[in-house]
Amino acid sequence: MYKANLSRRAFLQSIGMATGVTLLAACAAPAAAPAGETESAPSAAKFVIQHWAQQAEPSDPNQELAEGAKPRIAYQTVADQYMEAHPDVEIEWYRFPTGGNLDEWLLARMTAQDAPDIYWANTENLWPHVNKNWALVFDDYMDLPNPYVQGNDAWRNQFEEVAIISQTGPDGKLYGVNMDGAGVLTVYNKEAFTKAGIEQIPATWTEFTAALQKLLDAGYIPYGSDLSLDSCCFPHWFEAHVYNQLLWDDIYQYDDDDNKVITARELTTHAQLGDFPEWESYLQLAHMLKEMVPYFPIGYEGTVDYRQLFRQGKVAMYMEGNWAISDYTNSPPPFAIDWMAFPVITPDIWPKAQSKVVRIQGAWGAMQYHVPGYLSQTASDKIGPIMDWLMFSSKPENVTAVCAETSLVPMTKGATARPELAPFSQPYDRAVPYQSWATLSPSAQSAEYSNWQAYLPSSMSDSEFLAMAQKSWDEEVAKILESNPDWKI
Amino acid sequence: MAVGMNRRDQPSFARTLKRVRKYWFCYVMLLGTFSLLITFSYYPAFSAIYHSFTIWDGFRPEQWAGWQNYREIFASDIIFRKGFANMLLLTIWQVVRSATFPLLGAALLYRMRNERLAYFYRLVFVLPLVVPGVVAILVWRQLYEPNFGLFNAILQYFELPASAWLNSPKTALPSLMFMGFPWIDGVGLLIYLAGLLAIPTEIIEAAKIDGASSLRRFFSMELPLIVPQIRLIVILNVIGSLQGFGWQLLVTRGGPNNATTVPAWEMYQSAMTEGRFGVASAVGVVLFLMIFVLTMINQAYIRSNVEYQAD
Repeated sequence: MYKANLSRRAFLQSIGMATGVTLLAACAAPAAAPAGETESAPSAAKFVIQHWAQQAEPSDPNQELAEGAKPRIAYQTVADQYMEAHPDVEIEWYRFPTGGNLDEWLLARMTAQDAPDIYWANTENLWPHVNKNWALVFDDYMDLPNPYVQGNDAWRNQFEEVAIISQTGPDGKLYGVNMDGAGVLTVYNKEAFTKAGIEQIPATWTEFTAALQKLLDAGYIPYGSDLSLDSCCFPHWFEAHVYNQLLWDDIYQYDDDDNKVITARELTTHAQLGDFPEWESYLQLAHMLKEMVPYFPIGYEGTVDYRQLFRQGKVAMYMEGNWAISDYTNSPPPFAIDWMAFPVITPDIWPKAQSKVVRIQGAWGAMQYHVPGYLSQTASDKIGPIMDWLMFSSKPENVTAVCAETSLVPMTKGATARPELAPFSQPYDRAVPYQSWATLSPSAQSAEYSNWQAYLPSSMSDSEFLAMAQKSWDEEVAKILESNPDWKI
Repeated sequence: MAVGMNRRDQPSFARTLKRVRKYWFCYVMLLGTFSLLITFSYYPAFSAIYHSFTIWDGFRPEQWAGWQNYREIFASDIIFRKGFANMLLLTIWQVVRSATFPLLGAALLYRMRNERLAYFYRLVFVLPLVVPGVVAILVWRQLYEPNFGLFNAILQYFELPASAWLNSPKTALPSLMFMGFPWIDGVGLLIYLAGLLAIPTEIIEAAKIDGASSLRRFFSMELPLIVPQIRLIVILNVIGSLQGFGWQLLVTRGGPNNATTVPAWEMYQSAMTEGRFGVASAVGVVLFLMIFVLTMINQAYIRSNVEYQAD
């Protein structure tokens, strides 16, 4: 029998040939689909809608739940109903990477154009980037009737005014749908207050600081807080509560479009005009924050798990969003808790202050969804099903069901909130229109936190602090203008 | 000893071409590797050099900016003053600790007479390698936690005031440097040990017979003979320190108040948080130049008097 011998040289030649052919094949354009076999043509093909529902997402069946936590199923039930009625659509939940940073994630996903079809973001994360096509314009869809809500003539009419305002970008267009919202109050340990001899809930700044001292004397860490970007959101919320009170009569001078929300563009405009920030009030804000420092936990300059310290009974109070109600209901701490408003600043502290209650109350819920703008070029046929799914999600009974799990406040007309949210429904004089430098950009927020980290633990003088703050504010405004040249005036 | 080559032996262009034709398939086989290398290593590097001279957000067409990004870097208090100062300190510390503590461990292991015990200790030093670096960093972060952490619990036990450790601008950098104590890195230890074991035993035996003490043998014989290993460890650690920002990413995020920031972290922040790819590229180019210069210095000036030649 003839046996062919393959020489080493011939073997290497054939390998070389195969490598060359593989490389050429890899460089070739993808073959066109045979006629009649386009991607969307087959009737059996499904639209898979990837949805990052943030806190509203159903619990991951592959993930172990925290002790006492109940699995979230409401949005899955809604999705199941929808998929049953629309067999050509599959809703797939996108799980945000654990420990991921939203700003970094957004930038990476938008650059790579592989974001989920529906994603969550607060609009302050988006406004500096809408000119880069990060978010699809919703106006055309918002003008359509929602077929799932009887009698609805335009989808936009389903939502509270604040929900629509929140999604209105710097150019006046709508960039998302906002079905729920959030409020912020101070949660406190009732037993700690009793032990410290605090009989009445502190209503003014003076009463508040006196209460902090009593709690310290009673052996508690009076106020849970830190200056870290990793934990939500003490310095940001403190500034929102205080700065709006300090500027009470003047705050709306920065709201150029009179929509009761001060946006990144408005801040940039007024920074260029030289009238924002109002540095005198900003310095007062810094003084008030510094007044609280002796009552903070050790290491407040970095990340401190003060929520855990509160549960352990060491921290007496901290500022929290209403979404925490579901955690406290599912897994109550070993003491009674209650909620109180941020203290009012009286004219004896700051002449412009009006002794009125302000509240962070607005459109920062979990059901606040956007669609990547690039989909209009890369998968325009998907946008219709995406909008249809969002319309279905926004049925009042669906929003009620999801909000019952997330403890967020429905901003969809006809939907109802869970009864434990009553403290967040108490009257207030003004919902804050401005929050912090975070409104300008994430980078500005980081710069502001760094300034607090330098100022609060040190003996820095007022003039040194102001020089530092003004320098970093100017640098951040310059960065925003570099990214949005049309915002220059 | 290098074999001398006269002019007639040197390949002419025609001869080279003939060889290429003869072994064409070897070049084709290399194409795959080279195309990947060019796509994923060289193209991004050259792209970064170009983009360092532009204003570019990754979405819209870049605009030529000349030296603006470089001017911004060197005028920046955070990137230049704090970042480079911290980088210098962390690099020096990284070099010192990688060149001394694992070497000390290797020298002790090398001297152990009981082989089983030596094997056991080698295992003990190398075993932590199986723990992912990220896990080790997170464990250290927990130890430093100011309100629950072990270190403050110890201080409180002895009625000493608690420290904020990584959370305070004053103590964050030293705390970061202390992480990883006792700083005996398993890979470094193995490299040093391999170098020590490669020293011919006759030399050491002769020194012993001549009455050289253990310390004398270490400084006068072993240390000069393992200079190539030291050089490798030093250069790897210099490059790692200049490029790295793992501690910043996982532990401090450059804070508090930029106390622990380094240029590589600022590069990451500029690109991934601010979308300023031009500035990020410029920081990358500066780091590249620094690493290149330091590597050249290392190659040129850190030499052993005695190096074993390959056969």
